Amino acid sequence: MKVPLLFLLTLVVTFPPLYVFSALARSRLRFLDTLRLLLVGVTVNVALLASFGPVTGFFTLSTESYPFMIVLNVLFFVVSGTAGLVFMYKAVAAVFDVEDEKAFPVEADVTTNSDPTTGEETEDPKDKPESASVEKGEAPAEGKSEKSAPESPAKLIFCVWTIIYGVVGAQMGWILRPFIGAPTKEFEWFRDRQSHFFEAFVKTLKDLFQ
Amino acid sequence: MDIDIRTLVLSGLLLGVVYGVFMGLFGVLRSENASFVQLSPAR
Repeated sequence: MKVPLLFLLTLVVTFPPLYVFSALARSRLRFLDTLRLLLVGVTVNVALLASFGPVTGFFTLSTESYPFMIVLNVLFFVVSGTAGLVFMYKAVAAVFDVEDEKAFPVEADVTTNSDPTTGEETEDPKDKPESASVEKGEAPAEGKSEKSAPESPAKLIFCVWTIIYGVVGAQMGWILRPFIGAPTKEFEWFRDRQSHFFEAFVKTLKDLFQ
Repeated sequence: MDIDIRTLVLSGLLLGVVYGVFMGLFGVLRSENASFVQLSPAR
């Protein structure tokens, strides 16, 4: 039950900052919507992690190295965590894109011209900001869409939150250790609080190659 | 989003337990203190 507990506690610790920051960024996501979004990301994360289970089982049977198993599992957690966060990021981006279209309808009007003869609106690509900057001899910013200005705070907040989530998750894993169980030690539910995840991981890496 | 929160939590718990079992196998099978089935002890 420690693996679900790890994700649950990490979510409990990191959910309030995300919710408050997204509220400050004028997100229209309500409390439950934000929670649901995070839970979807975590579920994707855990599903991918569970799919690595047979690989972990294979190495359990085929290697005797405890440091190797630790590094392997950290790698699996990092890979699945990254996939979950990418999934979450796409969902957040989609939500904010839709909201930006609702919140900034004027922007859509800028790219359209009203035809005085027919009264119909026709889209003129020359009026797009990127095209205008090219005409002025300015290089268009790579990877920036027309809507990058209003949506960037939300995405920036999510990127900062991702770092917080990763660091909290790593330390939470350190607090809840052991997950694998050291073969030379007696069984224990939790170990003493000492050092931190990153120092221990570097030490494990050194042990692996000695 | 119409996904039920309870479904998400339950599936997360279940999948987490599945991986936790695989993780814990190493400690169980390689333990020097195990009195039951044991592979060669870990180094």
